[in-house]
Amino acid sequence: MSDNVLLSVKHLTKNYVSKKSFFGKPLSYVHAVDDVSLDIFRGETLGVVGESGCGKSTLGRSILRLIEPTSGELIYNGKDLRGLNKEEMREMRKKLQLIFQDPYASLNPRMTVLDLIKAPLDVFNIGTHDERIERVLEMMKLVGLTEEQMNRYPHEFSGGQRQRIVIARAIILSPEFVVCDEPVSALDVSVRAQVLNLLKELQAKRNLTYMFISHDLSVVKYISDRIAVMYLGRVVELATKDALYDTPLHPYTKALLEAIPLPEVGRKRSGMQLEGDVPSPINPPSGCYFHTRCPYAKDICSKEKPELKEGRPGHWCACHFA
Amino acid sequence: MEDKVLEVKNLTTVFSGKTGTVTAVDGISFSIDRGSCLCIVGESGCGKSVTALSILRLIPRNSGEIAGGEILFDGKNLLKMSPDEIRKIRGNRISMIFQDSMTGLNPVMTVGKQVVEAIRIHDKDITKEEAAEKAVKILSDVGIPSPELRMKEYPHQLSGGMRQRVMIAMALSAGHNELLIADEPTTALDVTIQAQILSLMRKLKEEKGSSIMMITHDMGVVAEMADYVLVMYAGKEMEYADVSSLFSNPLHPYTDGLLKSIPRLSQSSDEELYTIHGNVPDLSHMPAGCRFSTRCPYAKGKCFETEPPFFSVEGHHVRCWKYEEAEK
Repeated sequence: MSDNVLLSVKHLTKNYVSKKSFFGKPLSYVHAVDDVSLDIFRGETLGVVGESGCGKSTLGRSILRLIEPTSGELIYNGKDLRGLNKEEMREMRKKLQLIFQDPYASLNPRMTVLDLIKAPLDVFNIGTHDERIERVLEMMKLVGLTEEQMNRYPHEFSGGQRQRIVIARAIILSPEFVVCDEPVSALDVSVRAQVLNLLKELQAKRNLTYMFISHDLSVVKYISDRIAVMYLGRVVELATKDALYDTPLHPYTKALLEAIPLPEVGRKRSGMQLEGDVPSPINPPSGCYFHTRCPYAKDICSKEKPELKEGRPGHWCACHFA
Repeated sequence: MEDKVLEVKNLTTVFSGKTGTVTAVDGISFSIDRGSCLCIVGESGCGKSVTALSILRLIPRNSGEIAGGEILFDGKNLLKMSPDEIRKIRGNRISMIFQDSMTGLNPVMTVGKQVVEAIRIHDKDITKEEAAEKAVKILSDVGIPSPELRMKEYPHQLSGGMRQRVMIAMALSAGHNELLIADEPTTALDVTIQAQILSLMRKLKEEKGSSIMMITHDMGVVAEMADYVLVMYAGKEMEYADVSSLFSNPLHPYTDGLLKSIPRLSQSSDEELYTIHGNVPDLSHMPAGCRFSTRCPYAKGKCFETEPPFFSVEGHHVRCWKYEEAEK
């Protein structure tokens, strides 16, 4: 099994200082990612779901060290990414890529499509001028853009096409691991399906491993092999997608699944609706972070923090009663 | 005709800019029954928000104008009213909830002040104290815990769901809401909060008998809220039907494609998602004939030449040549 692990995240934590004393001593922290451990297997898509502020984007970025984690280990192919120096990390970045949510903000409006997609090759000084252009054209074809479009600027493209440009740029260095941070959330429904299909096709063709971050549970279900559910910086449940959707163990996962509006008329709900808001990550509740909203909470929940345990094979859950 | 709270006939709204005139809403007609919920669905740029703004006459005067049509509210044409008359209706008998609660609220005014202000604008006789009491009541009605404390807070101190509740509270403040127009009220919210807001709106519809016109792009929200659905595409209405027959039997190829391209929870990920090819056409370069013809898998000669009228088939109104025969 361990051969198959591409990236092993161990006790990853990221705190932000939210308040400082007069002399600059930190007084309180935001626990954006709180002791997260998980393995990502080669060639799989790991979906990460959760509500806004649960730390899913911070997790994605800390894994790539775009945000420096506070503590924890990131074992990538047997090497700890956090132990690498600047030069080694730069070299490693070829293998690690990120696709952002907003294709309007992640493309420089003054660069042509050619220059945008070519940029990674320029940065790493790969190939001659002609070879680079050839690679760009190959990528454009792969993501469904035509050669004539290479001298155009981003504003001439629609949202879906821009996301194709972003994807072409992300895969031109032949990465192994791509973090997709809400890649389809800004797109219209009819275009969203095109981009999801493209991501799946690329994964099959180029043997990519994805970490797919999204708040949309039906999209995550469609694209992922395994899914991690996050709440207030912690992973509360991790399982294969079928196990997670068919037999969710954690009450939060159940409530989340219950809350998705499905395109089916006359659906009966079991009536489990969460009250209140996600608590502030500056002062998270004691014990289980979810106990303030959990309908099944007992005394122990407010006292002891539940560990993420493997309740069934491959199905991890952090709940005292699961 | 008394059961219709709102009737829109042939509404056309145009915007003019440097590059010429763009018709954002092109002669659409629909009506809303009293006490029911109409959802307008469509992708970005299809004119759904402009329709809502047109009804309240909130189209910015320097760039756009309502070029034609009638909007009958309670039998009276809103487009013929003087600014004073429309102001009495706007926010009072017709209220609007916008998508983005952060821009909808004033950041330098406490929440309480804003709700009180909304109450006092519509009810000149009420005293400040009474208005404050009423505000507390409305805020607790929309499910804000400890409303007395929240009244003293500023919008940035509230979470997104709380702010959206305040927006709804302000929309309700006038008391007699015959029509509530909600423009993507839950798009910026998380699913668990979205479920709370939607059930709040449903409760409102049932208890107060308000009619709701809800604009959304989320078919899941439509299935949950709507009695009737209007599907818009590129400034035109494409299909109008009641919600259950729209979902079970979508007639227009666009509606069908839209429904098929949503990943279902029951869908295996081995199957490729259905896609509608291409992109939404640019409003300034509309295809001749049917607007969906450039992306439609069934498009034939006639579709590229003449715009189809509305055909009535199986209780649906559908703008597609496929149903020309069926109607007869």
